[in-house]
Amino acid sequence: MTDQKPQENADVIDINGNEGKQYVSFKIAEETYILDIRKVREFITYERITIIPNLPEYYKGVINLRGSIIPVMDLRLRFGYEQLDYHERTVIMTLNIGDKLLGLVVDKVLDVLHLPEDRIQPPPETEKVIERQFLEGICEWQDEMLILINLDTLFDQDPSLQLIEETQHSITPIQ
Amino acid sequence: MIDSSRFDPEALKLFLEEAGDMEDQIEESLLLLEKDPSNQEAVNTAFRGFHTIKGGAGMIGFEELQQYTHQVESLLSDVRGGEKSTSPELISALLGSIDCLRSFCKDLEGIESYDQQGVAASLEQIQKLSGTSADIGEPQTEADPEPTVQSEVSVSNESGFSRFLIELRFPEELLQEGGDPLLLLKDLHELGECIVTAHVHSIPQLEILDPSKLYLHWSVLLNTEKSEEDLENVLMFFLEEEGVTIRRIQGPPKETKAKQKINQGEDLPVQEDAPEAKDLPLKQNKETVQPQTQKIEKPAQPRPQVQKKEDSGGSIHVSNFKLDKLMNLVGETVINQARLKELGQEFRTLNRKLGDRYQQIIDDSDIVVRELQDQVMNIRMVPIKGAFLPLQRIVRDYSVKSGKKIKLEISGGETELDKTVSEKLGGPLKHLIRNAMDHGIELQEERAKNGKTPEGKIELKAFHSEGHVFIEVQDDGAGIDAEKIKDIARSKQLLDDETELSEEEAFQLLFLPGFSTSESISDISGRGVGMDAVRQDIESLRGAIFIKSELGQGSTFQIKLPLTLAIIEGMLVQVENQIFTIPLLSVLETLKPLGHQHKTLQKQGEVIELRGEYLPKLNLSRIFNLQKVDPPNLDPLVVVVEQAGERYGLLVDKILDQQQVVIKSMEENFFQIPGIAGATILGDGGVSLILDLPGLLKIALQNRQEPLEVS
Repeated sequence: MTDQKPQENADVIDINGNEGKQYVSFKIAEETYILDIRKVREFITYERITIIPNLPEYYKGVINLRGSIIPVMDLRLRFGYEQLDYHERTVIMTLNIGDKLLGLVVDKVLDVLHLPEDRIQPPPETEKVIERQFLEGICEWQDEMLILINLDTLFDQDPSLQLIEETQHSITPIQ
Repeated sequence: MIDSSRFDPEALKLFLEEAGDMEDQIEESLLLLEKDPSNQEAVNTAFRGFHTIKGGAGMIGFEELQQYTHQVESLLSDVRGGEKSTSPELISALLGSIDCLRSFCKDLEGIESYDQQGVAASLEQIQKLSGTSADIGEPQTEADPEPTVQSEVSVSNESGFSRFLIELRFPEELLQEGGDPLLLLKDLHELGECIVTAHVHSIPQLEILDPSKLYLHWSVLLNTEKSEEDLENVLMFFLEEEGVTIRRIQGPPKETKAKQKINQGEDLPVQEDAPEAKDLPLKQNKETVQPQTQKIEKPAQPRPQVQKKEDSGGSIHVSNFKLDKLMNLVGETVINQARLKELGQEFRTLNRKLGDRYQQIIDDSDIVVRELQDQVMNIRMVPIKGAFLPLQRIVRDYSVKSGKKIKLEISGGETELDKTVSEKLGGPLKHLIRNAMDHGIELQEERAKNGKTPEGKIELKAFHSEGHVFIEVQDDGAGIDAEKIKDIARSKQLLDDETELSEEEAFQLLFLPGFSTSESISDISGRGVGMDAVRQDIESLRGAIFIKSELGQGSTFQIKLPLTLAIIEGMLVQVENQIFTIPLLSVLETLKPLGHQHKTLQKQGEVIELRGEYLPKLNLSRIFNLQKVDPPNLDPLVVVVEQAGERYGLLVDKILDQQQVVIKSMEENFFQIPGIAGATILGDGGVSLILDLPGLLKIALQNRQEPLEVS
């Protein structure tokens, strides 16, 4: 999200922001993930949450974000890890996905990075850390492997949720 | 289909909104006119309506519609002027033209192609009625119409002529916004003799002149026998502009012979859009006007934008989206207000004096915020008239067709309710009215036999009471025979032979989905065609419907609706550690059952015995698979709710409060959750889910197969 022209030599990246796109990086379990910063709306502290009955466990419930009811998903659980206990420093990252808002709980928010787009590679076939469906790409960066998340799949790759959306008015128990 | 892509989409949208309003208004006034042919105001309203649509059609550039409305307008103009008198034929033709307009609009909206034959037929009819004078665009000759005709029809309540000085100063942007002063000047000419003076002082130097701006203003001296009201009608869209004024001038009018009719299409020696001209002596007559020149000379002030006016009150269309946003913000403000209040309490314990001052401010702003909330809510409220209007037409058309004389009396059309509710009421009301006409009101001979007036009467009433809107459809027809209903229900196996029903309960059978099939209906008391659909519609608006009927005297269908869909009266309950909101409308009572009231029946599973009746038990904690609190609550409370005529007992741990809650949609950022109707934000900023009883029941039914837990 910078106005400056990309440098010719993309190997050297200026952290102060004249190269590539900006990403937010965060941690889940041992892995570092990144998200396009333009999708991120704000960070809020994890406060009391209202559970929504009969949904998969990774949906923690809904919160009130200045008058809008937004769902909160625990990405750790979504990726199939064990739940971590929440504490006063647990944050919810609120994201714009399409015209909807979603809150994501991650282990720890790390940094904002400038990465040239061509550094992001398609995910390798053998990626095992999380299901490939959630991956949009990977990026090697300062000896670390960054994983770019495909946000769209967070919602719609879940068969039970699709079922709800398709049969809006019929009642299907989700278990 | 009309290729609507050639129109500017924004302008088209505005036009369609406006046209829709106008069509309803015209229809209403035509029906009024039919009842009372002397109702001049109705003629004026209809005329204005067509005129507005014509103008709108011109604005978007839809010539076909413009010409069509022009024809109708000419006819109405004759009616207004008295050259034509109202006849049933005329009203039918005009009503038919409304249908054509609607058909045009539907086409523009891309719904369906317009009814070309219908339009052609209507046009022919209109032309026939207007005689020869209705040829498009052909200006009528200057020859004065017969003076006798004039005097016959004069609407002015004064004899003779009066003079008005009209000043027309429009915002500079008028032309850019599609306004056309020339049209207005022409309209003024139709009222009587005009002396128009254009004031050209504001025209700037050529190099800074913006050709799309309006630099001129006008003074018009009008000599007319029409009333001031007529004049205001012509100027109605502009009267709120501060630069447009009408003043009556004393003194004898010049000459009585002055009355002249200048029809549309005639070229007036007035130009308004040629600012590059050096001098614009736009005087139609050599006579000089004596206006308040000092006022006119003032340099043009910046003016607020001209807003689209849709009715004489002046209003604007606002999208629901914007309103919802506003509602959200106000809701947030209310919650913040509550938080500030809490903070005030803490202040007070620390520093009494400061705390008191703080409290004072909070209290003041509290009043403002509440008022703000009320006002914003109020924006969504519209008079119910809009839902009633189409019914008049239905009754009229039915009367004409069926030969049953039926009169529809409407009262309480001003009663306000939520726009969404009002819009969704149309279908159910139509149904009730049709039923009343078909099956309620008897044939004339039969009415005569029973000593009733030959003309059947349906009363449609709306009123506010107990924080709800009530709508009643009452007919003076045959009434409903409860016994016959029971017979039908039995024959359809909807009722077993043993069950005894009160009259009221028997009427409720009408709402059963299986009750209404066509063959059983028409010969019997007759209600019930699609009544289950009516009830569903009403319930989807969180309303209820009741029937009262007396055999031989008539029936009343009463609909009870919430004022708004945005707010409900809710009961806040705690289940485990979650707070849910139950719509209070469904709550009958709450109780703390004794041990022996909990029963398990073979057939129905777990029930609660209440005064000899067994209510199915809905265990919210189990239905929602909530996390159990420790220690478990072994002594739950029961909220008795009613849904689709059945009663259930909801098990809850605590009843917290009863309050108005603002409903938020879950779908906005998520999707619909079974058993949940929406959410609301509590005073502390937390979220409470609002229960959806039909959904809950379905989940509970599905869970039936699971082993029952005995509490």
